Amino acid sequence: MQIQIDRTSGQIAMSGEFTFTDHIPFKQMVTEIFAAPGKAVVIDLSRLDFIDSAGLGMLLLARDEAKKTHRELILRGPIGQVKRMFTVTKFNTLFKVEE
Amino acid sequence: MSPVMATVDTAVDERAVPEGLADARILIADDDPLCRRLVAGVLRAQKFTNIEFAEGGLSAMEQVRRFRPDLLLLDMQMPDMSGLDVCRQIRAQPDFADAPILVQTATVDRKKMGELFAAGASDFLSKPINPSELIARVVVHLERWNSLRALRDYRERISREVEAARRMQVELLPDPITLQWAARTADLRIASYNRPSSELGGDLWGMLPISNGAFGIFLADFTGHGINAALNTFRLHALIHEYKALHHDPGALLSMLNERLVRLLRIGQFATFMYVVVDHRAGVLKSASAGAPPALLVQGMKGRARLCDSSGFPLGVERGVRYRTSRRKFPLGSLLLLFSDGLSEFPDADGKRIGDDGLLATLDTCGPALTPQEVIDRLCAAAGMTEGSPLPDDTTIVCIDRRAGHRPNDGLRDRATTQPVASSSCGGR
Repeated sequence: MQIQIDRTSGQIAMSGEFTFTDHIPFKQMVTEIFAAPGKAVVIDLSRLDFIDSAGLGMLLLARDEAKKTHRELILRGPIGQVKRMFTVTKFNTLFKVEE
Repeated sequence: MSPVMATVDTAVDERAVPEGLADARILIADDDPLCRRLVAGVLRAQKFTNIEFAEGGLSAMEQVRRFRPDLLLLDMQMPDMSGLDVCRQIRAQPDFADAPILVQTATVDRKKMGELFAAGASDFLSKPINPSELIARVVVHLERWNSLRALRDYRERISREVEAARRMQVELLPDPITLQWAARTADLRIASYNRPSSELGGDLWGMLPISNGAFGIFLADFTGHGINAALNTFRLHALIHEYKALHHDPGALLSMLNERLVRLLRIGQFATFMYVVVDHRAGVLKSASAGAPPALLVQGMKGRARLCDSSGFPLGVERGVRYRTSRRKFPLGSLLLLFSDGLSEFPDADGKRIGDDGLLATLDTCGPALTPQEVIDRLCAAAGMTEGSPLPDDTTIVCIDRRAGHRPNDGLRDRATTQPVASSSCGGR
């Protein structure tokens, strides 16, 4: 998985495959982005090809961090397998997902 | 003046020998009594207390067996056996394959030094002996040896414990006799495949007998794998058996398990879960799903394989979720296949994943002549899984087969195959 972070706008773009092995960089990124001041955090998933259950679990951690810091978390543009996973697990109702 | 004595006045390193090394067993092998005394004197001055001697190569071999030294100081030139031969013979013993052997030599010949290391020496001390050098090298090698042993002991202990845990986890799976009994009673066949990606896994499946031959099959997959996920499977197993009264009602069982797991699991952990009650008398399936991969279902003899909707919040994410029970027909000739995403998302040699649709297409090629175990084998092959291939994720497959026309004598095949695959096939009729 690759992550691009734009701290000023609170935008994160993820690409590739988001799996168990990405645990540490993702957690670091979450801590960092929510520590910085700002309003909404947007995670752009439109270039993410694959997510496994560990990846979904990490999104839940981000959601929890957002709640704690009273920030809005938006997941943008899931496609393909990622979108299907969101449907099967109803994550599209747990998160604010923008097409 | 002998070269040995020339060194006595050399300044001794004032650094103290680290604690815990003083009682290390040190064997000094030298045919020259003066050398033995000198080396022992230097070591004793640094509080090494556990020192023994050998007067030659043969006696060194004997002392290694008897005294089991932590470190051997070996003279190169002894009349009965060369230091090189002593080194080689000691290294041939598994217990001493890595023990430190410090060779004392007067040689500076590079070729000879090479032979010395090739024979298994850990290091050398040049004669005449310099006390500081002697102590420094002894300490370095003892510390290295101690940490190597500590690591090795730790690894052995952990692997024994993991192995015990793995056996316990295998015991959570349905035992073949209960499975066979359920299959016979319901006049169908059940086959399964379960393989963790490491010793311990986050997948769990089970069979819950209900009444009148009906039974429930559940398949759970916790986030991640390894010990954390494995411990959660034990929690879940205990919870499922706590709610026997709900075993006939998939929606109610899932709702209850979710309430319990929400309180137990840390944020970011959850389980996908599929539960199906198979009622062969009524010819129906009742199921509920918590974000598990879709079940594959072939309804009746002429049915084509299709995916059953399995959407739902995974267990342990949100409080107060009400899971719904779906009913589907399951007449004679039907087949139900449950799997964890380790199967559908297994990356083959080209990194491609078969996906739910690929499994569906493969299932359509599995005629009723195939036993449920053969159906599972074919799906694994189609996904690119071979018996030895390492799995990136825990993988579980359960096949429940009511198809007519299976071989009449293909009753029971014992749970077999090599560990860590737990695979079984049971059937009636």
